[in-house]
Amino acid sequence: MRGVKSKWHWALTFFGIWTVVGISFSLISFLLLANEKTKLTDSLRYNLVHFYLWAALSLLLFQFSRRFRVEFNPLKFRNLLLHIPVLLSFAAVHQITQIAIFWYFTLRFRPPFPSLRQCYHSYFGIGFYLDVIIAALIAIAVHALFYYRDLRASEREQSLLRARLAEAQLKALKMQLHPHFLFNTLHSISSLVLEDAAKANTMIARLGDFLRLTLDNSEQQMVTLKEEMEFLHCYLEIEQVRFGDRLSVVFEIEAGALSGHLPHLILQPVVENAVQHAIAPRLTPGRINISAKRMDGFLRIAVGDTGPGTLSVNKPADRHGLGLSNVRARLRETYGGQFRFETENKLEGGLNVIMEVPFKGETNRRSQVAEAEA
Amino acid sequence: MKPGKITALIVDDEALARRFIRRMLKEDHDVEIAGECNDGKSAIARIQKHKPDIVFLDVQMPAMDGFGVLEAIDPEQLPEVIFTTAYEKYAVRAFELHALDYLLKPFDQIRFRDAMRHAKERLNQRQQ
Repeated sequence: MRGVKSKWHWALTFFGIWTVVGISFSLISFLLLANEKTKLTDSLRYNLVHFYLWAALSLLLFQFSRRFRVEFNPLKFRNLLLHIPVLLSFAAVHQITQIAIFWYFTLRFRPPFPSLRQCYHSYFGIGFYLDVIIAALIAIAVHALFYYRDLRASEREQSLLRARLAEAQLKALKMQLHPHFLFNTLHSISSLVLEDAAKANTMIARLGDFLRLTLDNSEQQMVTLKEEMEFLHCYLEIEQVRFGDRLSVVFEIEAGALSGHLPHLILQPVVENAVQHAIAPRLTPGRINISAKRMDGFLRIAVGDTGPGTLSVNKPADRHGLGLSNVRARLRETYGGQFRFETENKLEGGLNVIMEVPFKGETNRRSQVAEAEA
Repeated sequence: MKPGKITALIVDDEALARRFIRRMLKEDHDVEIAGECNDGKSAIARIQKHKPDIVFLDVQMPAMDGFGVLEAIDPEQLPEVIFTTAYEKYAVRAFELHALDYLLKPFDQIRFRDAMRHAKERLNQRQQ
């Protein structure tokens, strides 16, 4: 219902705008160019035909401009060039049709009873120039419409990203308030206080860092891998004290990968998932491998564990967990289709989570800016 | 109650949590530590073998949780149980199973001594 209504709404608005333009032009030309011979009805008839014709043509022009949009991009310069002959043709077609209609209904009945050809001779030139301007204005209006639409869409996208980040933060916070983590960590600290004050001291500091890093960058969508790793170190150091020998972590991070950018808080849920499924449920020592490297323009991060993988669980969805689906959704919103996020069972047992995103580094961005300025 | 000291078993999968309780119990000269377990299965074996007077029992542990331990043991042989957990939500179920006390992590030494005082009272009543 609403769709139909808005379609009618658009059609009426479109028709209304062209009617207003036609009437305005009639009045202007009548008032400015009036002599005793001209009649307002003639002027109205001529101008309304003129602009309704343009209304019809503007629908075609809209299709053309949509297909060959002119953008502020040297590569799309072709489209600007393409617009020139097309706008001229539109103007010509309009003028030819307009004169033919005016001749058929009016001019041929009035002295000096001209032929169509004579009409083209005397009227085409002046009308054509005006039509070129109108065609250009229509193209500009269409582009303004597109621009506005894109702006709205990107605003919506931004707010969606913000919402996802807020959700991730809330999840991270909830995780900290999760009995498993916060209260058990506090209890571990409480034990440490009695026997190893220095160690307790360190752990409180790590917990503080961890809480602070979660709350920091709250407005920042993207952080470097280096920042994200600091956060992981805090988190894992705390888990290390709790689980002792049961948890060992191996990092293989290429120095070149550290400047790559990632959505804030994107890795912690993946590592937490590994801790919860590979370390917490087992008494035997487990290992988490975290590796990152730069590869063919991509930042590739892998988090492997020695847990049960997906095979031993009846519902594999459990293993992927809610945390991971949120990670995937955020990657999709940040990178569109340009990312990879997969889980695979390792041959030797355990699960590997692989994340690949386009490598965007600080230095890269700067050199691009420098190029643009030069 | 057996003559002499009260025997206590500590069950928790986290080493630091076990050390805390061990430390507290060592202060108390009425108590002897019957052992430590880091999972449910070994806890069942220990309880059946050593028949401790008190068990400090964590709820969330790998493979088998604290309630699983209690279900596996003959009610006649059941020791007094003090739950130690970071979760509030198990309290009702714990007291339905006649838990002696429910220590919410993190707990302090005062709260622990309090629980021990209750435990001793209960054990004395049983003896009489």
